[in-house]
Order: sequence, then structure tokens, then C-alpha cells
Amino acid sequence: MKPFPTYLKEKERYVVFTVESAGKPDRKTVINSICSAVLDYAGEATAARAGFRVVEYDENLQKGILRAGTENLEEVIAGLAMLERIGQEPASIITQHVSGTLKKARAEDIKTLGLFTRTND
Amino acid sequence: MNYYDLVEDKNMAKHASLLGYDRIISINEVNAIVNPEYTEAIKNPGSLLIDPLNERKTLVDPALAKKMAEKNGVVMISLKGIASREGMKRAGWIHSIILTLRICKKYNVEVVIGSFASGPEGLKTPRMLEAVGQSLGLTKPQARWACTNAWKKVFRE
Repeated sequence: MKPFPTYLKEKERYVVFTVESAGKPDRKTVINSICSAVLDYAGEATAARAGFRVVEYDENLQKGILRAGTENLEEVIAGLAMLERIGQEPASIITQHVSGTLKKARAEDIKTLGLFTRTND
Repeated sequence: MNYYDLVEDKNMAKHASLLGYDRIISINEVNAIVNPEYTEAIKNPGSLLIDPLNERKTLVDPALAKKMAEKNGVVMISLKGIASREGMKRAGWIHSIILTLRICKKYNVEVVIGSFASGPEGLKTPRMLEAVGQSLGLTKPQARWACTNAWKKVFRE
């Protein structure tokens, strides 16, 4: 099979984020909350165009990385800003760094926050 | 470049500095908050209109925008106002804000973006506020200006 032409691919960005919450919500709840917040604000079409998805999330450190295309990155980040609660508790998402590659996003996370460990799906 | 934000309670200053803000402004430090009395906004120089569509569901009309530009008035878009609404109400609200921003741009009325947070959960990073501004129709430099230098008109030194 021929590989997908690179010029047709959109450039992606990786956003390192932290969850600030009084409790410690589990991984599934956090990811669902993030996805629904972005879908509520930006809509399904924009989320699809952006190729939005949560790449990884560490439950213990409450940090994660999500991916979005460059053209719709602002809508995705604005959607994250609209998140007010995760589960039943008030919470917020703080974006810490935007990077062009996953490797650099992880490196930045280690540099600024330390101890980020990858969680396998 | 200094980032500013307006909050309801100034006790969050330490938390805000961790997020990257240089100064956090409470309501007491603002010259004159006029909301939603439009007539006052025309009279008072340097007044701040927070979410000027509040309760009236009308836009900043061109006549008001002209007067505000003359009197150095500032329109503030609060993140709290958007986040507190859901579904079609939020969609209608965002639509009104987009139209307001267009009028403000046309008549050179200064626009600022702030979280207007009442608790630490409401505070967001300056990057996120800029992203909200851009998603509402501002360009990148305009959104950055709305989070930085535009605030200097608002607070007392």
C-alpha cells in the first residue's frame, strides 16, 4: 500500500496540560470531560478537522498530552478553557506547553514538571 | 510583555503569578465599571463594560461604540460569561460577542479579555485567553494586545 502523501497531512501540535482539581479524577473521566468540553465549544466538525485526541494522560501526576492540527489549535485550547468541572467536582485544565512533536512535548514536560511517565493504552 | 487579568477576588494573586500573569486586577482597582448601564458608559471617561450584552441581549451598537471610542471606554469579554452557559445559550452568546468584537474593531474601541474568575478554578493561562480571543474572531496580535497592553487603560496605577 502506498503511504499517505505528506503534503496532504496537516501539521500537528501537541499540548501539554495539567488538571487542577480538588479530588483525583480517574483517567476515563478526565478524557471524557476534555473531549466533551472541546466538542461542546468547537463542535464535531472542527474536532474532526483538527484531528483532536488525547494522546496520553497520567492519573497520578494529573498531566497529559493532547494532539490537534495547527489550523484549529486555538479552538481546541479555547474549548479546554471552558471546562469547569470534571465529574462532580470543580476543576480546570491548564495548558503548559505547545510543541510540534510528541518527543519534545514529553521532554518539555520532564524539564518543567519532572517525572512524567508514559501510560500505555 | 506583561499579562493582566481581572478577577472578582484578589486573593488569587499568588496562583495567578504561577500561571504567568504579571498583575492581577480586582474590581476595586478599575476606574469605573459600568454594567450594564450604557448611558453611564458614555458619560464616564475610561469606563469598563464587562460583557456588555449582559441581560439586554443587544449588541454594542455603533452609536455607543463611537461614544466609547471618544471617551476611551473599554469593552471586556469575560471567560466566565461564556463558560457558565451551555448548549444553544452559549452559541447565541458567542454569536453576540463575535458581532460586538466586529463593531469594536470597526470603531476602534479597546477590547480586553479576562477570566473574571471568582475562584482558582476559573483562572486560565494567558495562552488560553489568547486562544479564546482568536476563536472569537480576533487575529493573533489583536488577541495578544487584548490580554496585555489593552489592560493598561483599565486599571489605576
